[in-house]
Amino acid sequence: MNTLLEAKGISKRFGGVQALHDVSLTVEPASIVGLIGPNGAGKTTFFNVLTGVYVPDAGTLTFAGLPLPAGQPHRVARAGLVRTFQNIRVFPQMSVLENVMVGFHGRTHCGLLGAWFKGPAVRREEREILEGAQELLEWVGLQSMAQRVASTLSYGAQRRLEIARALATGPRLLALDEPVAGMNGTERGHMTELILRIRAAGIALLVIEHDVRWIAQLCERITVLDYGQRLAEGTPAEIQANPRVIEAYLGHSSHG
Amino acid sequence: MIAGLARFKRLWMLLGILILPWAVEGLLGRGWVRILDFALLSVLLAIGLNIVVGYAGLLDLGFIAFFGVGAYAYALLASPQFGVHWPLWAILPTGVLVAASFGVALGWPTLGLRGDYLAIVTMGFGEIIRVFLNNLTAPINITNGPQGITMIDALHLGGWSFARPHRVWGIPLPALVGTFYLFLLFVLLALFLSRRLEYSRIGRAWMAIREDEIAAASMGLDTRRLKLLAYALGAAFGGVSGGLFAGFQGFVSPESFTLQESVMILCMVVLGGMGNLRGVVVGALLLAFLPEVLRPLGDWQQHWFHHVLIDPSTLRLLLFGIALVILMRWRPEGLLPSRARAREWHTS
Ligand SMILES: Nc1ncnc2c1ncn2[C@@H]1O[C@H](COP(=O)(O)OP(=O)(O)OP(=O)(O)O)[C@@H](O)[C@H]1O
Ligand SMILES: [Mg+2]
Repeated sequence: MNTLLEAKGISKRFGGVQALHDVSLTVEPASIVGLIGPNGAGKTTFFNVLTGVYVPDAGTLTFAGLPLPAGQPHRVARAGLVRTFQNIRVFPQMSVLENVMVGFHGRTHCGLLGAWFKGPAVRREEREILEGAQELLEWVGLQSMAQRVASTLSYGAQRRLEIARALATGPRLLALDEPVAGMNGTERGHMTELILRIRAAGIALLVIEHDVRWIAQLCERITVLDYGQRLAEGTPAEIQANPRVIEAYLGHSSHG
Repeated sequence: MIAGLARFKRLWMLLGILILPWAVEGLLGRGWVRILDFALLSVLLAIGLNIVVGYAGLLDLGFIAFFGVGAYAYALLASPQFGVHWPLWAILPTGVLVAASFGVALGWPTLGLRGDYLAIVTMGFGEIIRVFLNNLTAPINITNGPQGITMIDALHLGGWSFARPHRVWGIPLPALVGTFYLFLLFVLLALFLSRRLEYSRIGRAWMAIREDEIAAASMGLDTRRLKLLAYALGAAFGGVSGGLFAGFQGFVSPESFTLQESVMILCMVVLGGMGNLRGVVVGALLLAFLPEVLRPLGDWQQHWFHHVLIDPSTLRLLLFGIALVILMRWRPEGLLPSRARAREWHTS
């Protein structure tokens, strides 16, 4: 099978901070890849470059054989690469259902005239969006909260809502930025289960996480970032045994 | 059963609105029907601005420019200025296109801006348009400068002029009442189109952009295009209102399109309840009437104190300002807020 995502030599600098330096990473279709590293290592910056929020200073991004449009988040999403945010970004005052319905935007077509005349095709599309959104809410276990205002949901529920909204875009790669941060053991278990179900549906995942043990039992491969550079790449077992990783990564977080 | 009652309610409301100008004429006099007609044009403007501010969340302080563009489009296409006299059905679509193009042209440079920066830039654009209207007199005299354009053709459809009284089935129809019905038609159409948009894929996308632009873009929404669409549509509604204004008033001059007018329209939207059409209509009517109600302040002073203590127009503005402050203290979310807006003020 062809590689789904191939990032080569990505660099990004903010003023005096070299947030990313020559970082490469690949994701195979329907696989789960972990991205770990201490605070400030550049993980979120990598996501932002990947999804077009930032334009990289150097490097190439290839997704499903095509170059990813740099600096154009909506085109990246439409190409099939969607993400969630470390500091949750649901649409706070919209209902849970509406949040997910927005996710279908890129896959649907109703324009100005369609909205005004509301012909049979538009009605059908609108019904499909509604049903699709309800199905996704069921999938992440939020169906009972469909009419709630998104900002009133618990932290964990908002994370699941973000995932449902991202899935609505029909992605081939879902990038999750610390999906279990601040969650207890049970909630982590639910998230693991959800991630595995998403992968079983044929969607690849790229997951940022601090907790090495949690990510190790989830991923096929892990990339470690430190000070914006790739420190190591390998299977969970290799990573956990790598002395440089133990030194750099665990060294940081023990006093961090 | 309930649906049936609701339908009746609508019917009654429509009937009430249809009778309104007659009642106003009978009870308050002809002058108030005229005010009512102008109020409907304000409603049309507010519905347009609501698309930009209420739906897409783009704070626009230069909106009156599109009203001006529509008004001048009508004035130039139906007056002795160039000796052209197009019919209404040809002018309005042209005005819509011109205003919408201005909406896109002025929206384009602001796409990267938000909040207060956006407000300042749009305010600047509004002023630029007004300055142009004031100065486009050489080498060709287009706008006729500060004097404005006079002797504009009255609103008319075929042989039917809205500036003259008519007789319909033997009932005399005053010109101002006929105009009311014409404007009402446009307001109802604008309400319908706006409402359809609100509950569509596009309306949802606008609200998503309003709530979180980065998240919206990351979910595949072409935020630049959607924002330009909001600008163009809002401007188009403003352009229609402006065209009707020019035809109704018979003359236009740059002083009708000042920053103060932009602020007034914005107040209508905010005070009524951003994003909620019913609120916007109520807000527009309220603010269109309030200054008129306060107009006889000089007479009241004369009556109570036997001479005029404070300049009536100053006092009028003062009272108007106080009324705004009280309203916003009492209901910061607006009189009839949208669901989302009400939540914002009461959940936090
Ligand atoms: N927009 C920005 N402007 C300036 N500096 C930035 C910006 N975004 C990130 N940085 C800097 O880049 C570095 C990497 O930050 P990043 O958020 O990518 O780290 P991270 O690995 O996600 O950390 P954490 O685990 O805390 O989320 C940090 O030093 C940060 O301060
Ligand atoms: Mg981060």
